[in-house]
Amino acid sequence: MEVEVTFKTSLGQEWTIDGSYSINTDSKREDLQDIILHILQKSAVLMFTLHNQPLTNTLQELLTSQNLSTEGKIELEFFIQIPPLKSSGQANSGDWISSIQNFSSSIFVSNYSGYIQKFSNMNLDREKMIFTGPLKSFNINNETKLICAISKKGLNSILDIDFNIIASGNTEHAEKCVWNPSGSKFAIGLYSGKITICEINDNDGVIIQGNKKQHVDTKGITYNIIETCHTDLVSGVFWPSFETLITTSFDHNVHQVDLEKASISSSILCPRSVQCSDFSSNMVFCGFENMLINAYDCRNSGKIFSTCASAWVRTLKIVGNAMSVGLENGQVYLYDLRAFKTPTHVLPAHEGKVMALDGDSEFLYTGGADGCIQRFTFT
Amino acid sequence: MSVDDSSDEEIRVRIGDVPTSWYDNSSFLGYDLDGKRVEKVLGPDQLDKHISKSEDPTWWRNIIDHLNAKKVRITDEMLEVIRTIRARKPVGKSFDPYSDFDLTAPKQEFGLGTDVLPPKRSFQPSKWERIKVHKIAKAIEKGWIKKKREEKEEVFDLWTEEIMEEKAGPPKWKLPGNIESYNPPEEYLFTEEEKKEWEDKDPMNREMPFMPQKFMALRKVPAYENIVKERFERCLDLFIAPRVVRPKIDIDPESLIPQLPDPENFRPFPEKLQMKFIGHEGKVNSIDYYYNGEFLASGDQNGVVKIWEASTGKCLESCEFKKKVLCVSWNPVMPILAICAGKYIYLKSFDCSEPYEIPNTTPSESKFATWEWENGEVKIKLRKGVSYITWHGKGDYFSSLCKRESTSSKVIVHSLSRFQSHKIFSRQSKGGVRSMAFHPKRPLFFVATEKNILTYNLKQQLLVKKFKGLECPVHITTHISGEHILAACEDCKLLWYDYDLSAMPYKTFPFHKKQLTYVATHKRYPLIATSGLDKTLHIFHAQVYQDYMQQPLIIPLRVLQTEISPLQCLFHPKQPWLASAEGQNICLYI
Repeated sequence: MEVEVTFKTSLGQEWTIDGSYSINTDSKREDLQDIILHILQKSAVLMFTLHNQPLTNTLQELLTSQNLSTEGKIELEFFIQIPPLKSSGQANSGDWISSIQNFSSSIFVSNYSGYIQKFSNMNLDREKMIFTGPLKSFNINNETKLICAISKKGLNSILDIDFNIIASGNTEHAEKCVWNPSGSKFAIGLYSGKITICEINDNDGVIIQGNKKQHVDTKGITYNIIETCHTDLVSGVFWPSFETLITTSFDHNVHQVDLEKASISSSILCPRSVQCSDFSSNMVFCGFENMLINAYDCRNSGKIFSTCASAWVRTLKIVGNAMSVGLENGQVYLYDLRAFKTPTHVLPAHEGKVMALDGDSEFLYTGGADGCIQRFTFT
Repeated sequence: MSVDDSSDEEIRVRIGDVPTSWYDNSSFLGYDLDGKRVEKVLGPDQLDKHISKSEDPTWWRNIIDHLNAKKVRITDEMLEVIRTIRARKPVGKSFDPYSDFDLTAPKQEFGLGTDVLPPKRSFQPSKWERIKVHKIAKAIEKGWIKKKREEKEEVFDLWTEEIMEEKAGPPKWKLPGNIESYNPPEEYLFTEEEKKEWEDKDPMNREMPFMPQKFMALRKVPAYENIVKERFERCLDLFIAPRVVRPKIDIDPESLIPQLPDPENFRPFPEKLQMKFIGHEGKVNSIDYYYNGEFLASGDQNGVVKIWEASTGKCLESCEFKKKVLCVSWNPVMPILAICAGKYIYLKSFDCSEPYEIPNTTPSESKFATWEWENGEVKIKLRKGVSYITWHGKGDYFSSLCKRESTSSKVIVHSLSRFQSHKIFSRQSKGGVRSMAFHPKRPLFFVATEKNILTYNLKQQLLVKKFKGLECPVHITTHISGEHILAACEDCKLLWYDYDLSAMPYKTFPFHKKQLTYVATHKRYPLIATSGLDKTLHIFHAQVYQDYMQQPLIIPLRVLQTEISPLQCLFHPKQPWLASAEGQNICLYI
């Protein structure tokens, strides 16, 4: 059986194909790719979607899954598939990795032993023990190149790029931290559900360990607490603009916080507790413990898409057109955001759970509970 | 009475009630409306009268109207009116004295007086009728008056099509075969012996009601002599023993089982194993969540206690004791963990949680317990090994269970703020104590023995209630509302008691195939979980309503298969997660 097909793409003028073609419904992705490349006289690995559903088997199956008949015309969209990833390096941190950030050709890693480490080309360049307990999260600001780091027990420190402590302070049990766009303030998401907006002051720093206060020879941190944010652990904090904060939590909510009024301007209710999240282009991507991954539009609180992984979603990161998802079983799923139902690539990254992800157009970095840092290259 | 009659205007003489005899000597009768004299109209004299009588037969019709001072001739209509008045009948042709009486018309139409208002009883329901109806109703209610049932005589026509549809059709007649033929084959004919045998037999016992006969031609076939009898018997058969179509009862036994609601409607609940806490080398005996769910404490057979980060499964701290740890329990308010290891109860806080130093207090002397304080941690030494601990909701009191103690000393209640220990039972109770629990809101204490659950009021120090119907409970717990008690028993049953309803179990759940080990309730979600030695975890939806008239809704949701029989199961304080102690690992189901 044949069906009339037109092709659409956003790859540019040189990839445009006019007219419609009569194509056999038993054709697969490779057959369609051959047709396109023959017409355009180009070479690439293409992916085809129909109404955002990828062509994984034959064209007939795709039509059947969407209740479309072969009588009408169908419009297939194609784009260059995310190239497969190849492992290109590995390093060991020594303990469970809590956070990874790719910054100026190096990767910075924090682990549960309280260390922050810098790796250049997958070799340990520098490390420093900041806290005695787990270092839960850190964030590097692109403008000021300062690092804010928080421990599980609520200790927080501001470091420069060489790991010298500039300021330190103490708050409740904390989970996530993020700088504002200019690097003048940073926000900490606490275990209790509160959000703390912090900035460095000139006073001496005070750290509380055990029941004892301790003065340190660093600057202090001033805290402004937003009380009525969440009722449970804050699993993600994002500061896309000066006035707006995006927070996700175990209390099933995604909040958009207006910092001028210090109140919640909009909320999105999720099906389960948000275990991990990432924010990109007004969209927040959430991973849940029941293997679901949802994406929501913050402007209208609507759900954009939903897909399912094979294990508890531990960490999530948007890298270009791809969404990388780290799972409890040590696998990393790579979804193409243009065809999000099926993972494009599945990487058996770690022996333990995947705890952290980061990447750019060239590399993808993963950190796991086995203490390993893996680097994958987009070929 | 004034009458608004236009005929008043015709009266010229306006003397009113003044007798006309006063004007006998005057030429005028009276005065008119303008005040002018009205002269008398003289009537005919006697001679004129006599002449008029003889000449005019209708002389009597001529009269003089003195009031108007004119002569009037009586017409037939006037005459009729006069006759009607004299006969005392109503005047007027339009008036029909025999018209139908209109009951609905207001009484004013009948000229009974427009000024009289109708009485109130005319438009109210009748009082006497109401009394009468009430009496009859009461008599019927008491049974003094019985309604006669009208017996309908049912007569039905047997041969109508309607009846034949309800009843089964008559049995079909057997079609004639070769033996009924007028010229059957030779083999169907009886031999002499068969004939004799047929004739000797009782007609009721004969296989065939006739003897086969052979005729050479159809015209020689005689009339069937038994036709009338046969038809009669047929009719009799149909009449006396009519067949009825009995509907075949075809009920699927599965359809009698009440349909349970779809478990999909009761999400979220734990469905699948998602994570394992790996690190213990000995069998994990006890687990407990920190009050806010941040940490999970576990104790194993080797005396090792580990503190885990609940969301990631990372072991944050570990400490070792000399004896095996049988129970760990977090204080519900303070970051203190109670650990039962051998004869000791250790109360300590950990670095990963909020560090807390228990204030030192002079302990009171006790035969059962010795309190020791060191660097903000407390160690309580008892006479025998401690197997179980449970905290009061406010975090100051906790009770411990020593299984090897004498029955009166098994249960000891300790006070953390005062460093005191009390034996709460003054005499031996029948049966050993197996488990205990504090009421979440009221000053009640539940103690499970082998056959009963005893409820004590701690303030009044009295036995308040006794729940029965259970056999060797392993663990008891209270629902978050405090109104329901759950007991996991050795006879594979989970018992649900309603505190206010009855001393017997409200519901029994015999789902496990082997002994139960633990029962847990969730603090936020309507979930219950049980663990058993049959390597299963049973998850139930248990919705308890605030309306006392509505019974709790308890629905089994899922059965989770485990690799090793779980010794304990526990819900996360906030999330719908279930942790279970299975061998050396702690498994988390989500």
